[in-house]
Amino acid sequence: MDIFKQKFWISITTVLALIALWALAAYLAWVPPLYLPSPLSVLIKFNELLNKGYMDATLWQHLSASLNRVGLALILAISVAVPVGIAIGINRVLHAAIDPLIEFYRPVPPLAYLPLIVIWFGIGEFSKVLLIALAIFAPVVVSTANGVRSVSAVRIRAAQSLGATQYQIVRYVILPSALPDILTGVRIGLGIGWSTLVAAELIAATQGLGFLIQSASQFLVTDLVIAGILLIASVAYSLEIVLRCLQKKLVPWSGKSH
Amino acid sequence: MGTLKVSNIDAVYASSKANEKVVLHNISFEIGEGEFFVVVGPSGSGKTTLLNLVAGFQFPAKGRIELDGVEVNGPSAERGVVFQQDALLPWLTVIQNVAFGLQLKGVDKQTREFTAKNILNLVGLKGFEAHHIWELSGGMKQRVNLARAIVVDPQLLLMDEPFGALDAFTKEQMQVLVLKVWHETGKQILLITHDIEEAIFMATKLLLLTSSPGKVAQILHLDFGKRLIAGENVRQIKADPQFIEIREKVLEHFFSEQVI
Repeated sequence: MDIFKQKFWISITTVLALIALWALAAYLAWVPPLYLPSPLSVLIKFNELLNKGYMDATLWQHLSASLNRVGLALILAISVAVPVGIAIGINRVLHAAIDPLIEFYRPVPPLAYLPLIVIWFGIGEFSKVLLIALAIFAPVVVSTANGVRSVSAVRIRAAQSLGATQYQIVRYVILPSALPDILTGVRIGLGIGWSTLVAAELIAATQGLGFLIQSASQFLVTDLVIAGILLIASVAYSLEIVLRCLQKKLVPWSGKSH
Repeated sequence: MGTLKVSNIDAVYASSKANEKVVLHNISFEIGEGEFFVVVGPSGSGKTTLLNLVAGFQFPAKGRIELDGVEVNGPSAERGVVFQQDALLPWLTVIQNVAFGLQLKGVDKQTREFTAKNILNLVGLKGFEAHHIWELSGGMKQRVNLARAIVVDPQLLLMDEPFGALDAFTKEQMQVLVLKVWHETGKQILLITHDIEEAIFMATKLLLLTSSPGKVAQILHLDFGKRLIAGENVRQIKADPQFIEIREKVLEHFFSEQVI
């Protein structure tokens, strides 16, 4: 058996063993069902969610509400972060001006500046998208700037002595050279953005996976809370896999010696 | 076609304001029409700095560099550069890499691919048009580098240790290829190398640099490359007593200079 297959089976076995332990704990009532419902009741709740929805919205409405917010935030963040990252990667003055600001806000948890965003922009959809976008923005800027700075000088010089203008160097040499780093930044950013979702949906949301968990916890519907958590995790995992495939497709040269 | 004229160049490398190091001192030479000019020197003799100055990547502290009477003031397409490695764009195929210079000029796709194809034939890469860069061997990559530099038809071709990373066999093949390309295109070439045999074999004019700071020790006029063009065999030329004598003299010169 090759190593890849072996790793796959070890992962599967671990997950199945944990579920079995969980089922056993629930069956023998080591923990009251209020704290830990059985896997079966989570599955039943999930089925109910699938068929009837929750709080006047179907599961798909909750899911697409969340995906829309993260998707919009991603587009917003990338369209600002990539140009800014390129600019500060190229220009030392801009780097000196902007870098401290980004490094200062980057480690602050989104929940900490959530109240400020609500005061400034209210409780509408825009505030939610903005909060997620801010979370995605930092890693994309930082990795874009890093990618731009690590473009080999020889590549740029080669283009210059072929007669390239400054714009052509950015467009045809720097941007594609930095693309692997930009995509890594997007992957990290999307992970952070998705985990900011629950925080964003604390703001007067009536739909969304984050809202679903919030609301279910207030009514102590623990099995629904667990179902929601598993759902959020699987969506995040799928997104990660999609992005990895995209990365392989878009930058097939990355990691190969050339 | 005109002349590259380098007059009384000084180059200074400054790691800080107080700590200046003269890398090149009072260098003068001319590269005439159709000339194959080679600069050879030990590491630390400022060879690459010299090439960077002519290419316009760096500027001299003193002196003047002129091409056709016009002072060099930055990189330009009339001075093409072939680098040692890693200068190709891995997201482009072989033919797209070669056509890159024409694309920058705004040449339409059909014309530029036609021209690139011809140049690829010239450097012996027929049939590799659609390959990716990472699929090529070191020697093939250098052929692409060469093709890419000549596709925009520069007046002067600068080569910075272009065969430095190749094995001995591939290296000799590339030397022969470059001489062939030189002969067929009639370009002026400035080649930088630390390989004495290569320098003597290829040069019509050979500049020996002393080390730290680099100064002109001697300029030799040679014709071994022309003998290859005339049909003589590589091994025969490199085994010629006259070739060996010059090689030993140059080696002696560099060893006597070295303080150990």
